[in-house]
Amino acid sequence: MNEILDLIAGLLVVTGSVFVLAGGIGALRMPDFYTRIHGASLTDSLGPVLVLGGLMIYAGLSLIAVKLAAVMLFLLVTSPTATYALANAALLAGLKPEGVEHPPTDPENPA
Amino acid sequence: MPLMRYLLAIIALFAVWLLWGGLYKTPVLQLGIASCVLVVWLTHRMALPDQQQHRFALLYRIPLYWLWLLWEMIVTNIQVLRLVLGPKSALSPTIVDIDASASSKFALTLLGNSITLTPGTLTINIDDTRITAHCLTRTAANDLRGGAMSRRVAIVDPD
Repeated sequence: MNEILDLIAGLLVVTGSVFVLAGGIGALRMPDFYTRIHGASLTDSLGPVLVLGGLMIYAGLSLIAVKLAAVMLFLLVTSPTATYALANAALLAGLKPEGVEHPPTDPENPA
Repeated sequence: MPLMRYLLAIIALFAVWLLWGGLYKTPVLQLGIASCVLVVWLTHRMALPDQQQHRFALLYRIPLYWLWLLWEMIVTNIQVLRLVLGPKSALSPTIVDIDASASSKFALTLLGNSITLTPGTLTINIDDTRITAHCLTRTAANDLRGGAMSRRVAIVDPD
């Protein structure tokens, strides 16, 4: 039973690491600023959920699991907020997304 | 009921103290209660009273929403993983405006964060009436336009 749980925990951590690695590759490969954010956002959505979920299974029912759940919760609330701050700052500074069908209206002077 | 609110705040803070510390000796617990009361008193002194409505229905609606969001995250993560490793010609960046004129501040925040949290869609601007999102592909943009996420957020926070 313990071996099976350890195996599941290990698989979750490895799968999460694959997503984090792909996020790094995405940030390097994507063509422009906004699409790079998309690539990098792989590192802060499913990646940490899988890694922390795996660690929670590894820790079992204990205070450590509760703390890991809290870390995951804070991460899932704060990281999109930080991403929004970054993307919105780029938009306000006037950086236009490349290859977009419907360009955004300027948030400071909407048409 | 401000008194009730302060009492709830103290109880919530103390529960967190117990979970984080994991030490259940009397002097530690006394210190814990004292510091929770101190924090609530300081907050009361420095901040305007919390104007937000606290609805207990959120306690079960939010976890249900998170479960659905987790599923969406799994699906979109795999899509973006394939886009990242595949050819660049598969990308078709699109900007989408989502009407959010009926939403409260809380619902706007929840929707904006959820859009960013699912890879392939990215919130780039929020004002009181709409959310502007940058999408990696036309398919992701159409899914977002379909409004499944906005509808679920509207269930969580009906105002």
